[in-house]
Amino acid sequence: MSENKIEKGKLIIDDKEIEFTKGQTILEAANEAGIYIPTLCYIEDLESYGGCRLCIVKVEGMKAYPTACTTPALEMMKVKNDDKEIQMYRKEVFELLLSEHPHSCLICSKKENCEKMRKNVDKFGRIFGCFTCASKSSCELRVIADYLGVEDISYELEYHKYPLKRDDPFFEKDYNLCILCGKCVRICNELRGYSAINFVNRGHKTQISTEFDFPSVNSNCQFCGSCVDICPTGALSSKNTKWNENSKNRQTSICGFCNVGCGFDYLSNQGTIVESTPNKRNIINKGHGCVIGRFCTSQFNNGRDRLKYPSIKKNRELIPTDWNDVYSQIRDKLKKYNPEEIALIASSNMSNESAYVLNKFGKQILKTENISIISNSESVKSYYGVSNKIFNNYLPLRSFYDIEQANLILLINTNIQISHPILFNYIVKAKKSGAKIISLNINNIQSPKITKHILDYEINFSREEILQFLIELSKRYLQIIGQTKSGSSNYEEFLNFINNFKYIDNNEEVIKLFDKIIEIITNLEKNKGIILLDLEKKHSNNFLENLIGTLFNLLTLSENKISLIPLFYSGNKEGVFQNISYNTTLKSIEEIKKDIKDKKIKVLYLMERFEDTEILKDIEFLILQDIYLSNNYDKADIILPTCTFLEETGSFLNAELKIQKFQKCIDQIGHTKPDWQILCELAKNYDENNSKEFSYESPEEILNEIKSKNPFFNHKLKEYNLDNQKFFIPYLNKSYSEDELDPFMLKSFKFRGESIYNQVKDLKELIDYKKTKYTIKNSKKKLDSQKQSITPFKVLSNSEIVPNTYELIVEAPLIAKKAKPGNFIILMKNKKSERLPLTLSDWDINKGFLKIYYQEKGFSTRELTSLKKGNYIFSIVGPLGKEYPIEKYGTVLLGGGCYGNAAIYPIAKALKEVGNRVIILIEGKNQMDLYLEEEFKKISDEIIYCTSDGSKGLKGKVDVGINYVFKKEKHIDRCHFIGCNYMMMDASNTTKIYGAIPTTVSLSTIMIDGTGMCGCCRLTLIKNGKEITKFACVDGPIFNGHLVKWDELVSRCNQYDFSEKQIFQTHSCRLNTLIEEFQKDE
Amino acid sequence: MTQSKKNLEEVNIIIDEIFLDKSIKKHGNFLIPILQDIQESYRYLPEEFLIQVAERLQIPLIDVYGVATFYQSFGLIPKGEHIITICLGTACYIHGGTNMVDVLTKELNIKPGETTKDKKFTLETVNCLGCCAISPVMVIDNKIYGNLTRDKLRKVFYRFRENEEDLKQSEI
Repeated sequence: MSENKIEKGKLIIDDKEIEFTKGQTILEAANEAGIYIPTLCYIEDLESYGGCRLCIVKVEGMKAYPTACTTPALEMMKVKNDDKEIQMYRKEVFELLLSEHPHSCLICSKKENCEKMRKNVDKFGRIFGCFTCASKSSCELRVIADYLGVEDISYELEYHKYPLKRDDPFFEKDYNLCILCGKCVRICNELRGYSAINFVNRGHKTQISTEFDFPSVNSNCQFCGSCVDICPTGALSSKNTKWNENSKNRQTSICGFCNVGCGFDYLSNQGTIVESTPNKRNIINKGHGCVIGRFCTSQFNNGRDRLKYPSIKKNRELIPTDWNDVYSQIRDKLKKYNPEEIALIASSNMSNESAYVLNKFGKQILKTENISIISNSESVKSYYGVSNKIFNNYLPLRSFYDIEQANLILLINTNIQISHPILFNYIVKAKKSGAKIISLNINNIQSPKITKHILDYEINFSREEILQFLIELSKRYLQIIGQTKSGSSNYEEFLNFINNFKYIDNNEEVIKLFDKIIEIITNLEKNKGIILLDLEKKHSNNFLENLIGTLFNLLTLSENKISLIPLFYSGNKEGVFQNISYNTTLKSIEEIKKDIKDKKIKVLYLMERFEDTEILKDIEFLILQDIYLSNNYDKADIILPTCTFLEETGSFLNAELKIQKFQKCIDQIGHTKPDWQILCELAKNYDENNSKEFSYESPEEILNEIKSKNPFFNHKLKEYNLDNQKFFIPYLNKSYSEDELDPFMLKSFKFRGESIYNQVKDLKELIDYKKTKYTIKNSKKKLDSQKQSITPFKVLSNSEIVPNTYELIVEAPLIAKKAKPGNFIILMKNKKSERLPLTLSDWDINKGFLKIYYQEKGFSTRELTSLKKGNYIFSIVGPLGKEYPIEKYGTVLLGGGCYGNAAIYPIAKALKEVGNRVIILIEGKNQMDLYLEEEFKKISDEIIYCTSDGSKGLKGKVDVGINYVFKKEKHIDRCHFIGCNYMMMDASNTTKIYGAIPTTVSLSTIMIDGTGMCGCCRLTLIKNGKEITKFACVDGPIFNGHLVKWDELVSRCNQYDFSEKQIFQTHSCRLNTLIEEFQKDE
Repeated sequence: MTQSKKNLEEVNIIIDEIFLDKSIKKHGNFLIPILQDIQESYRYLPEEFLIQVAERLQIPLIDVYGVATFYQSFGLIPKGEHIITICLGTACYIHGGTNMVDVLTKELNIKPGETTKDKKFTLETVNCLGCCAISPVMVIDNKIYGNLTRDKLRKVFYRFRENEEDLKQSEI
């Protein structure tokens, strides 16, 4: 794009003249000028689709109404966007779109009030209205509904009743909300290149699906989350974190799990990261992420085993203490040893600043030469060793942008769509514009199936073969170009080597490949060839040097047409290497290990755990600076808890060698401190003379110092000069061990030595699933067949009767005998489940069963939905609470909403039996929400319905219904309402207007024991200006609605909102250990 | 899932034949002819065949599945020996196409889209066959019967069933 001259033009939208670049569509030009044109199917990076028809505009001289997203902008084109006629058509299109999407939320008259009362989204399973929808804040339909001013939808809702798809890890699918915009399909197929989903079936039955409707784990899906983030509705949502969407604290930073360095927005609440979403403005990832960055960050950071307090070993036990104590202990101990007896081991996940301070600390304070990086330091050492020799301390520039512009991409030994999924996007883009992608694998590492359709060639080599292949490639290439332009000093030597080299393999396929590659290289323009080299896999040093060297030769021969990007897995391996090797020679970890065995090194200061703990036995004094509990913990003498990249500020060096600054997103957990701060404070404590050298106010200051000292960080990363560079002369006399290599798997992702799947239960599920390949159906069977202990409470049926509301019939003859209208029970599904208070709706004394209606509204009710006929419930306590006084009042109005519909049923039945005139008022979001209609007909004199969208009865909420009844009836003697707190408040306030009509409500509060002991269900009544404290479980649940202090009630009910949301991702019962101990004692 | 390897080889033969026919290798464009041939030979598209097709054509499996579910002439569950299609396009609908469906639903004891237990007949409906002039229309095994009434339909159907039995006997 940049090569062509940018031609500008002008067009007119709604009498406003705006500029456009040639090739842009009307929509793109309008977006750039800040003019809003509604659309649901436009994706910035992809070709226009023209599917939703919402962006239709009027263009002078054009027939009909073209879509702005597919019509190219032309010079002086006259476009009408904000036009009455156009808006009318758009409205029609939009209404048709909404006819299959539950839309009561968009047109509800109480929309604004409701949002004030219900700040928090209820954790419903099936989304059927606004306050059940977790994607409210990102809902694009809401924006368009507001823009078009949609107030009523003339089509009846066609709700598909598709089952929810919740079997997959990380995300949930509710295709009842899908408007078939196809964004997820396009992003998955065209941008991410996975092709896991597509449209299936046709007509009304069209759906987005995986092949054979399998769960996503069975398909090509990589759980990158791009589909979830692009979905304009709530159809796709993040399973564990979706309810946190409206958290206010949002900080943009850089993800540190691999060295691509994607931009992410981190949402936090009460000092914990709750969600991470890819940043759309970041030029590297452009709003895309991978399974680790998108879905695992929050859980990994919030793990329960995080180290929080500095501790010292006393009598074989680690005792938490304060930082100063720890520092002096370390100082006293270290001073007893010689410098060469102390070793410092850095982690490749540290920031540049921390690594620099570590180097300074080692050299100036400890004066030791034993500094190393923990994991596979040889690869980075070999890379820079060879590159320094060849390029004379200059480094070839690297850029991800080159990948997408490339004509030739050589993948060497990489499993890129798992190790660096974002770079795979670039490859997919290159492939689209015709690049040839060739994968050279070592030792039968197979590219996974998902990458296969992207590859043009894939060949497996042994280590020896790949070197031979590359040398032969250089030889053939040199023969074609004749002579290199490079003024290399050892050209003759290289030529000599090349001429003496004889290629042994005569595989036809390989020979053809030579010609193919050389043909492409000779026609390449600058920077149009890319080699991606995975350097993290363990090889012998000698092999790596040869491999890197021969690849560099190719770079030199091609006169910089080809560039090389080395890939490391950890967030900042190159940065840490550059910093800790500054002015010293880095020791490899193997050398350190050898010295430990030989008892030359006695003290270890570890920034990341040793995987092999055997070696730690020979250590006299071990300092462990880590984030998670590990098997090194017991061996340590001192524990220094440190931060993750989310809790500190600093910088990483990514694979492009860009210095990327990351920001502090949340406060440090417990007493943890950033690595650099610990080292600085320790240095100051060590010797007061150092206080000046180690007084940094901020990481920024350290970075400036790094820049001023280390040329690597000081814009010295220039393009190398052909005249300065040398050729690498390979030495091929050795045969390499041909041991099998482990391919990079999701399992291999680590941060400071801690496997990410260890902390993220969904990732573990995914890995286990892919490993064992058993189907989800099987695993479910397993769960069901688990023996349940038999209790008196046998489930007779449990079914979803209307969206989200379930009917549970359970045997409990003793409770049925004593139950009275208005009573409730407390139910526990399993031994370790939460105690759930539920109102009784019906019971049969003779048959001995209870009927309960409940809504799926959170973790515990979700647990309940899995009950099946024949299962047993662990415990049911009841009947509890005071009953409703059944007398002959005259005319009684009973109002119910959601689960309350069922709760008024027994009261209505009893009141009717004693001769009252019973009027039933039922509220719902949509007619589909209404149930028990037949039953109510039998026991009432009149039924009035009100729905938010007017699909049955009156249009509006409960207040509309009450007003209607009071106008119609001459006299009402008593009212009773059951529903959500908001509905009951609304109803009470409405009846207040009509005078002192006794109005009672049945309150649902947080409840634990149900016997008046715990006090959780406390509420306040205001009587004659005095506040009276009551307990819903024993004094209620029925109270005078006019007296209730609603604000307090609502805020008390929302008190545990945050924990209730967190439970989905971190749930492991804290009582577990207690119960186990208790059982042991028994 | 218990299709034998032999069957998979047959699929390969079908694919090879089409490739040979069009003198081309690995190309997604020939997906529909291949699926048609498989559908003709097996009267449905078995799961593992689709997997094999996707692998041979080097296109994502979901794309094959999408096409297989889109067209009504493809089915993922085995169809009967004879396929009876009743048109419910506008003209046929007005001229009593639904009555024709009712008659056959009773006769065969299956709903549209289902197959009889003996795997003999599959009843299908279609949205237009393009011969509205002779509506209502029914097709049995690619033979078109037009201007139907309930009685005429029954006659045609009985005759067809008798002929079918005769054929069976003569084969024995």
